[in-house]
Amino acid sequence: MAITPAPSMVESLLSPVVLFFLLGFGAGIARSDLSFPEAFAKGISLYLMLAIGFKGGTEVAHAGFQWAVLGTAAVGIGAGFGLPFVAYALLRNLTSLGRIDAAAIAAHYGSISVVTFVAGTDYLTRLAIPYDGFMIAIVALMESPAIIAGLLLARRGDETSTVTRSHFLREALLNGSVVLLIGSFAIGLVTGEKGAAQLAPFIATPFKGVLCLFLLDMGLVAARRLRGSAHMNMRLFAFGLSMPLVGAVVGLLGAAAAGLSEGSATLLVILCASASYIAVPAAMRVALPKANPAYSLTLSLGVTFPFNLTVGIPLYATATHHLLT
Amino acid sequence: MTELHTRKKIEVIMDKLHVERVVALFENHDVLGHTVIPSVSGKGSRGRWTPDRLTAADDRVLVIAVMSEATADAILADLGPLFEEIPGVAFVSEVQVLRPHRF
Repeated sequence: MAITPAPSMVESLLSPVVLFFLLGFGAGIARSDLSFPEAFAKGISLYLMLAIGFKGGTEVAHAGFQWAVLGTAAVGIGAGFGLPFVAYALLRNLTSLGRIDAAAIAAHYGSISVVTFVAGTDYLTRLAIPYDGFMIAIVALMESPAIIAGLLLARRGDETSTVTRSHFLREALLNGSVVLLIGSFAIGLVTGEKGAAQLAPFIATPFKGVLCLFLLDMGLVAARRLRGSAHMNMRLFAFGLSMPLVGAVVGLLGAAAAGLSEGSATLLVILCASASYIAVPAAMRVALPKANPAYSLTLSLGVTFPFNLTVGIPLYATATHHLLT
Repeated sequence: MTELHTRKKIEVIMDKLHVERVVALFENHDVLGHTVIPSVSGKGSRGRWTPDRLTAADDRVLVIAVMSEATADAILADLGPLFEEIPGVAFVSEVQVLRPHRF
């Protein structure tokens, strides 16, 4: 198999996806009045979930069942459950955060970021490195185990909410974005190549442009969150930059254990290195209302996401390329 | 001159994700109606907040209900312990209503 050399960091930054994010981030830091109507921004995030899920489903339908799915799923779920314990230990030792806030943040770092994953697939596509369609299923599987781990960590204290179990489970498992991702994956799986051909003008062609729009907005949101947070300090900032690297190492080990191809291994590393801002924040808000979301959302959206998008993805791809292939 | 009747208005600013708990409180005390209004942005004891597009974790709402003074007292007694558990603030004011049987 021919091995494609990884591009330099500068090359990897010169992608429309990354550049639009940086445009939004810069505009947000500079206090530009550039903004998206909220309904429009929510609409494009729903479109992305639908397109990502459907594309993954059709690719799995095309490739057929692979045993690697089971091993990768086990590794993904294990990493999702285990990483919060590592993140929690780091936070409690490196920062002055209390148990509840540390547990809530830790849960974010065990879960994953769908948009970072998509940016990773874009990076691999530009390098012509193939990856397995079933990785979308791994994305969905890795969303929720961290929530359970976060709760276990928080319950070492007595400050958890008396929220009803049904309310919590609804937020943890039936979050709208997760439902759309899994549902679209199932529809793609059932309809296969015929479905892919029917929806190609809606899902395939405009995808990259919509992703750029979305990342422009994400840049604005990330910058405003970073700018507006009075709670951040250097130790928290250092955690936001170092925890993805810890996750990446776990992902590398997991990818080696699962015997994944270079492309799929890179995506697993990216997933382990990313932090959630979809399913986990809402679930943690319900289960741990005393946790301050300003910490977790600023870290995952304002620090870790920009780091992964600009530096992390090429770094993880290079590491996977050299260490696993 | 139109006859008006005095009632109490309770306004609660709180997390959108917990709004069902306050709504249930109103319903348990037989408050006949309430309105939930989304908040756009604000600042509280934990700093500034604005809703994100992806998650409802940082969304706030304003819940408004009008009721008799006795009902308001009973609800406020329950809101205190609730706010020990979830973030939120409540304001009470006196209002005049046209149709007292509705409140």
